[in-house]
Amino acid sequence: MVMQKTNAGRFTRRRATSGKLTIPLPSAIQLWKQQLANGIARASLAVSILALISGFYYAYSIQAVWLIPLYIILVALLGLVTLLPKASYTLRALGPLVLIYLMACLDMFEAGRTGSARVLLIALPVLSLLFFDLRAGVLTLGVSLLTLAVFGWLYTTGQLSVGLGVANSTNPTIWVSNTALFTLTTVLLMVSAHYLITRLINALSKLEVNVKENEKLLSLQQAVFDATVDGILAVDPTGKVTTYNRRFAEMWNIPEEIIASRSNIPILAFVREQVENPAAFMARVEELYAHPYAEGDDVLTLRDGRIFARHSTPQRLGDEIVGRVWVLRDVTAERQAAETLKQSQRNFDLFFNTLDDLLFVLDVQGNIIHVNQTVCRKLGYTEAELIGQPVLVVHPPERQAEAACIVAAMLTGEAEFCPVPVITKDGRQIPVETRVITGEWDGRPALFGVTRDISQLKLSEEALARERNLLRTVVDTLPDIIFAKDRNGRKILSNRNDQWMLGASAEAEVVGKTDWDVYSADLAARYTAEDQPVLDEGRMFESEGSFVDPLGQRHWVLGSKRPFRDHTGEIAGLVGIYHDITQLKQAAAEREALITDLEAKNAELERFTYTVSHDLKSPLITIKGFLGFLEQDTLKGRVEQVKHDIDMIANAADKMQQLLDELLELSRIGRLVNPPQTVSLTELAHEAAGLVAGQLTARGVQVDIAPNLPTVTGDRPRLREVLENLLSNAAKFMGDQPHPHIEVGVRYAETPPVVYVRDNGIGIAPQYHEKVFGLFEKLDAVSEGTGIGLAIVKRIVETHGGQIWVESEGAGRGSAFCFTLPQSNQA
Amino acid sequence: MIGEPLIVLLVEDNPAHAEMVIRSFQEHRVANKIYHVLDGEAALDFLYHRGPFSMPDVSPRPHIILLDLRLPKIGGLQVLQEIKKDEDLLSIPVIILTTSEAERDLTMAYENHTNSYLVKPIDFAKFSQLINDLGLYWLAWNRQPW
Repeated sequence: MVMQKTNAGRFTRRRATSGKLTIPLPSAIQLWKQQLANGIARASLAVSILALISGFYYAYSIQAVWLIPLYIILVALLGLVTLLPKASYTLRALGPLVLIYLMACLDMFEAGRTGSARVLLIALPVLSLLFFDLRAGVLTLGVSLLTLAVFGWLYTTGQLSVGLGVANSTNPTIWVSNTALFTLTTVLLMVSAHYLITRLINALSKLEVNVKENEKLLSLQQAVFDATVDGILAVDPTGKVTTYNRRFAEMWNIPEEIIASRSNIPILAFVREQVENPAAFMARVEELYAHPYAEGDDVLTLRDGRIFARHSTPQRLGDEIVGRVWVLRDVTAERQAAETLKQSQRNFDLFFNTLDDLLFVLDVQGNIIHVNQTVCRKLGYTEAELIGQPVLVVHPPERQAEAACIVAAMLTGEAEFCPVPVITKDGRQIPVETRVITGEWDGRPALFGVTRDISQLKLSEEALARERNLLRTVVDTLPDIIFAKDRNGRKILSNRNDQWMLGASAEAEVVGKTDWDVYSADLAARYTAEDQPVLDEGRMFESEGSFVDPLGQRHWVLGSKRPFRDHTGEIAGLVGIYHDITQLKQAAAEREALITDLEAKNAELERFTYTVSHDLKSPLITIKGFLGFLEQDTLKGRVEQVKHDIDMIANAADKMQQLLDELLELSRIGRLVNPPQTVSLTELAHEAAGLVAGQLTARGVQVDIAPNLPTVTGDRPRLREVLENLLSNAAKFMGDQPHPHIEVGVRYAETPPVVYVRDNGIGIAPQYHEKVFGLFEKLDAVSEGTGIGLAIVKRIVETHGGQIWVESEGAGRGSAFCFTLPQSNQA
Repeated sequence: MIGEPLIVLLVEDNPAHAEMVIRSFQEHRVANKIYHVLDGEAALDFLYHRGPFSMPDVSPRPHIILLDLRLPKIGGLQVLQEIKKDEDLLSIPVIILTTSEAERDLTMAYENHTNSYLVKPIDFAKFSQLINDLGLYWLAWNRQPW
């Protein structure tokens, strides 16, 4: 098995060099024969050339020129055969042999060593047979016989002076018998040689078959050896590595040169550096080497974290120990998996028992089969008390029926949530939320109930809700407009007043909206501009302004916007509070008005006091004065004077009484108020005219009353008094007008409409227009009355919220008393 | 006492008071001639010889003017102002004779250059004495270039 590595070539190379189990014999024979033939063939070429040269020389030296063409033919044939690529090695080897043989024969023949030549002639065929095959042997024998025959013929015919031993007799019988003997000897030798060779070859062939089978087996073993996941190293007793597999080298990352050394020592030196505890590792190795029969199993931890299981066993051949085999297996993954499993089991136990939730494991009948320690701790049971009990025992008795239904539904998978509280052993209820999941416990289907104690949650939820409600109530009850916006200007809180002001009936209608959604563009732009420094720089914004509510009423507000921050201190938005100061404003305005009014009253009072002191003192002085005169006149007996004095005194006293009466009347105005009524001034004017009818008819005054006088709301008798006084005044100051006329009318063109009482009497010069309304002011000192009438009229009109003035172009041009009164709504 | 008649202009809207002043003068034989007008307008008309007083010799230049403050039409203070604004009239001593004891009236009168300020006493004897002393002082003791 080739490990998948990027440098595949390295492993390929290593595979080629790994230990090989070989039986070399039959192949070696073949190879040897072939190589010999090749060698001879190459050598024969060289020899042929040498032979050619020496042949020429020889032929020349013995004056045998006829030999030269023979030579040339022979050499050419042999060279040709030798050079033929497809020529058999026998053929190629034979040529040189023949040549050598011929040359040796010639040489020996020349030297007269015919005996040696005969041995050669016998030996060559035998050697050919031995070294080559039967065919070569026979061929060589043929050549020997031919040589013998040629030389015999040459000798017999006398062409050659020297003859070969076997054939150099001129006696044909001897020659034939010698030749036959020679041939027989040679053939016998050849037959026996052939027999021997055949036997040998057969034996070798058999051996070759066995070896092939062994090779097959071995290759299978080699494949297994290489493919196994274990690393294997076999060492002989001398410490020489007999074999190893690729996996071994891979496991230790042993470099090529070290493994190639085939020695135990560098390998050990290399691997010991990789284990966690090299000393223990070596000690173990040495111990095992010291005890050849011992087997050993141990575990090696490598510095890179891998873990190897090591097995060492002796290698036996029969009873003999021939070495030791080391087998290493990488068990890192298994060890880690086992460790992980153990760890997760430990973690599970830890979680299971330290979780604050109550964990129940139920069987399919709803009985408890396991609980965590939290259950025992919180409910006060021991584990033994609960195991085997139905889970209903931890539920309050009055809710067990409900719990039973839910548990049943949970068992069928229809429910996975249970809100029923659990109960402790001492009967205390704990509010919980239970979730259920199905699974397996000890190989059987089970229900896992995770029960969470939510009492704290409930308490804090309640507290939170209470606080939220409290805050909400405060925010809604405050008379101010309160809102909050986020950084994008979207509203996130709006109290009731804010909602009302925006015309919304619920907070949801405004939350999430910006000023652009609820206000006009210019208002939204203004508010957004106000918000910017608050959101960007955290500055507080304060302003006073006003707005119109949905009912159309203007409200004055004092507003402030300030930033609010999140838990990191970043500005998260702003809170706006607008305090309605309309009432304050109104109160301030009212106070102003009141002060002005009071100042006016004060001034009036001062004037009044002054006037009263002056006007009341006057009659007193008169009375005292004329009493003095009376005394003098009485003493002097001036009777007429006495009468005058007494009259003056009486007049003054009357005047005083009148003044006092009228003062009282004036003080009543604005104090004794009749309930307001809706009054038609036309109707009232007719009534007033009726009351002063005597005065009018005495002066022959014609009165015209407009029918369309406005209808007003007010104190009816007082309003009638106004008209009565004005009519009376008009009649009084007619002067010598021959056609006295009074007109009561209205000018609707003005707002509010102006009611007037116009006469064509003496008129009033412009400089007196103000003065006529003054208390006890009279333009004519001798006219009747105290001068209080118009003061009363003015007072009545003003207490009704109206105004009064006089229009006259001057003396003799008539005058018009004009006044306004608030219109009645029902008019 | 100089034989030339002394002329007094009495401006008084209350006829009873006017009579009292006139009678008191007569009692004490101080003044020879008293001209009585009822209101401020009449007083100015008298001094400027206007209206009803436009006829010659009807309204001679008075030696002193007795001026009430509360008067119909034109008030006493205004009359005083008019007189003291006039080159010809400002030399005429103007004596305020009033029932008013108000501080304001008093101050205003002097601010408008009144020559004297008298409050009418309620008691007749004192009233009589006041008129007597007034006549004596202004008409007898007091020297005038005319």
